Amino acid sequence: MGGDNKTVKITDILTFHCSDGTRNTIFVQVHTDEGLVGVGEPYTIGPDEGILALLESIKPWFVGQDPSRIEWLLRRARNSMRFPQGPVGWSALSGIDHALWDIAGKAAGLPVYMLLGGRFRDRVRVYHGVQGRSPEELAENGLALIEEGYTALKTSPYGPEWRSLLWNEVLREAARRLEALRTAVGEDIDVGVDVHATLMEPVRAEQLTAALAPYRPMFVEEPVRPEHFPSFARLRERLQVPLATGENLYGLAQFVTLIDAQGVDIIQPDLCSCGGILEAKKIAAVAEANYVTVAPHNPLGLLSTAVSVHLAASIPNFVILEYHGDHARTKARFVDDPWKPVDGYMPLPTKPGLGMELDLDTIAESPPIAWDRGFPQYPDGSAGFI
Amino acid sequence: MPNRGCRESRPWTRGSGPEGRDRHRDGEEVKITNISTFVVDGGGRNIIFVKTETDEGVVGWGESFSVGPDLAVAATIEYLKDWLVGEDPRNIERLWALMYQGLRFPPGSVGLASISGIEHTLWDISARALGVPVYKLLGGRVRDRVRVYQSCGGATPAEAVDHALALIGTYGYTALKMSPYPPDMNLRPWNQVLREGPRFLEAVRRAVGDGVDIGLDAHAKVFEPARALELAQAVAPFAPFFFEEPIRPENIREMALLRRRMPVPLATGEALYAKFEFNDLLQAQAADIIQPDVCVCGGLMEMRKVAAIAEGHDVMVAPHNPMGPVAGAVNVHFAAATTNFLVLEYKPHDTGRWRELVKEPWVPVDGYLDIPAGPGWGLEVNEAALDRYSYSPWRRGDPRRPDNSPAFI
Repeated sequence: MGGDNKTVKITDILTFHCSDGTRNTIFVQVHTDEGLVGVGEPYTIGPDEGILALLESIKPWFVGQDPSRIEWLLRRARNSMRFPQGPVGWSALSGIDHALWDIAGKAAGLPVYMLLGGRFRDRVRVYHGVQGRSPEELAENGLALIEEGYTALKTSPYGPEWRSLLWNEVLREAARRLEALRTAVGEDIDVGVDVHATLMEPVRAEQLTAALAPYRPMFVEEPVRPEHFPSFARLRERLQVPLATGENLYGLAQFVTLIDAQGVDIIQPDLCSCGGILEAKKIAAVAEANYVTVAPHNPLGLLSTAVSVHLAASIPNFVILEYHGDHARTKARFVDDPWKPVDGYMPLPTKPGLGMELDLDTIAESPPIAWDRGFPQYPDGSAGFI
Repeated sequence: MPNRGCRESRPWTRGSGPEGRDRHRDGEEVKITNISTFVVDGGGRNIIFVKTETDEGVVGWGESFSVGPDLAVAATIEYLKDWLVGEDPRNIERLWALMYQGLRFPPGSVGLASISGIEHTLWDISARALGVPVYKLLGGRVRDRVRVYQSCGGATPAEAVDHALALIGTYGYTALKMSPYPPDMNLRPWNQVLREGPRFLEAVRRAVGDGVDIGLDAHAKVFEPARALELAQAVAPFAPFFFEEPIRPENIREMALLRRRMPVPLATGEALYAKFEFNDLLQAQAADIIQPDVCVCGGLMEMRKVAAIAEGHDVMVAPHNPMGPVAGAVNVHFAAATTNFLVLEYKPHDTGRWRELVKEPWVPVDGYLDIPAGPGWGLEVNEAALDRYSYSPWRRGDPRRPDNSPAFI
């Protein structure tokens, strides 16, 4: 019945918990009896231990199974967990998804994108994150990146102490920052702005976006908290800047609901938490049917960059990929080959599978730390969004 | 016009395609060298086979829907061939866009049937080059076998019962489909259609019991939504599996209203093209079950996208599949890999002309098809037989109403 030529079987799922000193990283390896090993990276959603424990407890669901049955294995796990997963569950499954695609590519002797409908483009455009305490420092850092060949950047609208300022001061500072960056890099560089879901009131997001619009941002990202889709639909009708969001959404259903609400111009799934490559392909298909483009969220970099590049290579509505100088990060020593962009584009990998391997020795020498995202406050001592 | 208008192929010469075609070829070895079409009279209607050849010797097969006129599809494939020769057939999404975007205007039935048939060949080649079944390129197998249904009918309820029992006896079907109408429905008073049509379903339901699902295909013959609702209500007591194309396919808002009012699950989609039309249908909450046809919706990748959109809207997919053996094979791979697949329309090619067109027919057992283990589709087309029954002109028919106005077919 239902034939497969070979019966490769999963023999083990290993997790690796390590740190570059600033934040923790989780890697997943799926081992097979044929010797093929696939690697993946769940989002360090926090708490990391939740993901490690979940992976350990669902491992028996995968061991002994055929790794080429990617959709079946992931659907079976989700169905068995029954309740809609949050970030911990979706990140764990995303890591397994990556590893299964890596195995599939290695088994075929092809880069993963060749198993996703093939190569739609020859290289993958990236934007580089840029920061600066002052407008001048931001401009200087932006210019340095342009000189490295990047054609697109993304920045925060805020200065470091924005939560202690009055709102009108925040607006003025945001405009000064983007003006400085725009003036430094010129008219032809794309510059995205990431509000990072720090605002709750849509009208504040409108005011902030209006203050930035004269400097023509490529998009405004997560202008408000992610939960209430009608706010996004309303904002999209009113903003003069393309609306990007999605890093806080998991699984096909949430993206469908947002897209059906006409609440987004550019969708930004994170392949380490949205459910993985297979889920992202489905999300991209829904987006395509609604004239929405895809700009994957990718702050983790490295293996996260790799899976994102394979998706980007294969889908027609990809627009740009987040990038944070993977090759120069401390974290880069966790992998054998931190890919480097050329002229602001990531070349497509040609090795079988994802094309990136773990350096297990370095990982073993880099134990996890206690980390959190911080606890910002407003002047009255109430908790701020981060 | 020759019988198989596009069978003859022109040799590809370098330089006939767009400039820069050979950029960024690193690591790639396969190139399309030719695409040919075989329009074969399957017995009353043509089957349009598409064959793509490569410089590696790997050959892929596909099938275009015989939307009619079939020679227009063959001519379109011949036209598109020049855009694809020299390209790597494994870059399926890219080549699809090259055709779809290159045509600029939304392609419609002839264009999308042509694109679909070509697209199938690319999957067959991609999988054969790796020596794996196509479903392995779609995220793998989510099931072990594929449930199928066949249509049954007769001039009287007794004949329909005989046919249903014969099909179940031969193939073990657990699902069937029939018409909700009595013969000559266009010539009868509507109340007679409402009275006589359900008797066919009633008779088959009594004969097969509750253990067989029975879909009904209204085939978009009813123009008025209120009449469709009356008919759905009339058949509801006999628990149909679904009620297909209750009204014409164009007006999605009326389809959505009908779904809200109909007492049986609403299935539709064979007359919709590409992801955009299905997306509109699904966003309008206008169907319980969608029925894309992989030979005209745009191909396997397009149907996978349609299925993803449907999955996000909690809708199942029951592919429309009245075409030939390659179409059946493509659908089996879709079904093997797609979580929200429900059931596949199927007609075994184990008798008559259809039997000659393949080396080994796929025959349902216990109402299910096995999932093939061979490379590509796992189906071998009997190319030598395709010459035996060349193109014949056909037409779907010409039903009239009592006032001689054209009815829907």
